[in-house]
Amino acid sequence: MSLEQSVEALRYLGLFSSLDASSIMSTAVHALHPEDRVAAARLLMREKSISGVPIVDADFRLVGLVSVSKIIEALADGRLADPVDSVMTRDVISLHAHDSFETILSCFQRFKFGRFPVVEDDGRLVGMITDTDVLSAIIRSFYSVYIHDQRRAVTLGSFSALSKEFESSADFVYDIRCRGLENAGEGSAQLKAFLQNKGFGEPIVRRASVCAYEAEINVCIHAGGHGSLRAIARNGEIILRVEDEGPGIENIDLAMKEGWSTATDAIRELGFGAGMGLPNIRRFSDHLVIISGKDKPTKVEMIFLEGKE
Amino acid sequence: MKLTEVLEITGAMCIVGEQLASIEVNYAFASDLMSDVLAMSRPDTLLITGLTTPQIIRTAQMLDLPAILVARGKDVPQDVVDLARTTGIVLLSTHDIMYVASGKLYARGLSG
Repeated sequence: MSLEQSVEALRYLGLFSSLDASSIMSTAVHALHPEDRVAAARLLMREKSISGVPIVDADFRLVGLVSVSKIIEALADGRLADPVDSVMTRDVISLHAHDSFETILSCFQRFKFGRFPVVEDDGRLVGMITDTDVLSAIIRSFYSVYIHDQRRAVTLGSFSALSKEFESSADFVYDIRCRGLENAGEGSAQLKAFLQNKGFGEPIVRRASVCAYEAEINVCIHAGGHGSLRAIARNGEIILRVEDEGPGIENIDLAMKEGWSTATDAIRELGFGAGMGLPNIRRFSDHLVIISGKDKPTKVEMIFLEGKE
Repeated sequence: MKLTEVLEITGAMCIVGEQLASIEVNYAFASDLMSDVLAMSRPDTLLITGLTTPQIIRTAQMLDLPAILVARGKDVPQDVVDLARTTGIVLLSTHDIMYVASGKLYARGLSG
C-alpha cells in the first residue's frame, strides 16, 4: 500500500480525524533567544537529548531553529561563544496548531526533518512535534479500535480494501430502521434467508445470523435504531458490516467484557442489555474489527469462514 | 424427547405448531436473557422462557431452535403468535413457573 493509499484509508476510516497538531505536540518546549550563545544550545541539546532547539523573540514568536548539524559546523569553526542568531536557520518549516493529521504526516514525508515547531496564528511558539509524538498519537488512537484476531494485519488489510466494495457491490443490503426493539431482528432474518438461498451450510449461517442479530439489536438499543446491515457472501466466506451513526462506544475494551452494558432497565426487561452482545459476536465470528469512539459512528465488521466450526 | 411428551409433562398447551408431533428436542435452555440463549448455539434445543416479546421468536429463528415453551401461563401477543407461525417455530405455553417446568422436564431426562 502506498503512502497516498494509506492516507486515503485513514481518511475513510476516520481514525485520526480528531487529531490536529495541538493535540499531538509536546508543550514542554525548550527554547532559546537569539542572543543566547551557541554553547547554551549545545548544552541544552545534550541535557535534554533533543536534536533541535527553537529560537524565539521576547514575545515567544518563532524566529529560527538550531539543529545538531549547525552546532557541529559552529564547533568546527570555533564559534561556540557566538550568539545563536548567527548560526540558526531562519526560514523554519513550522506547523500550525490546527493543522490536520494528514498535513503533519505529509510534512514529515516531504521535509525529512525529525521535528517541527508548532505555532499559533500570531507566530507564537506553542509546541514541538517529533516523529515520536506522531507515533504516540497513533497508538492512543488505536485505543479506540478493538481487533480480535491474531492475524490483525490481514483483517485490517481486508477491512480497508473492502470498504469500497461494500459501497458498490454488497450482495445484501438492509436499512435498519427500528423504534424500540419491536422489529429488531427483521434484517437478520432476511439475511439468514439470503445466506441459506446462497447455499451456505447450516453452521456458518447460524453463526452469521446470531452475530447479525446481536449487532442489529445493538443498533436498536444504543444508536437510535438507525443503521445498515450489509453482506458480501461468496467463495465460502461471509463478510458482514453493521454500521450506525453514533453515539459510539466510548470504551471498547469494557464493551467487550461479558456482563458489561450501558443499556437501560427497560431494555433488560425485554431480554437484552445483559452485556453479552459484543462478546457473543466475538465468540461466533472468525475475524472481528470494531471501529468506534465517543460521539462517533460505530462500524462492526465480521468475517465468517465456512468449515471453521 | 418428543414435543408431545413436553406437552404432557408440563401440562402445556400448543399455541402454534401443527408440525409438533414430528419434532424432538435433545436439550433445553431456560432463560429470560436472549443474549445468554444466543451464546449457546445448539440447534436441537427447547427454549424455556418467561418473556413473550417478538425477540424470543427471532432468537429461536437465528439459532434454528424448533420450539419455545412460555412459562407461567402468560398471554402471548398476537404479533408474536403470527411471527412464530411465519417462521415455523412451535410455541407452547405452560402454567408452571420456569423453575418447575424445567425441573419436571429435567427429571424426565431432558438435559441442559
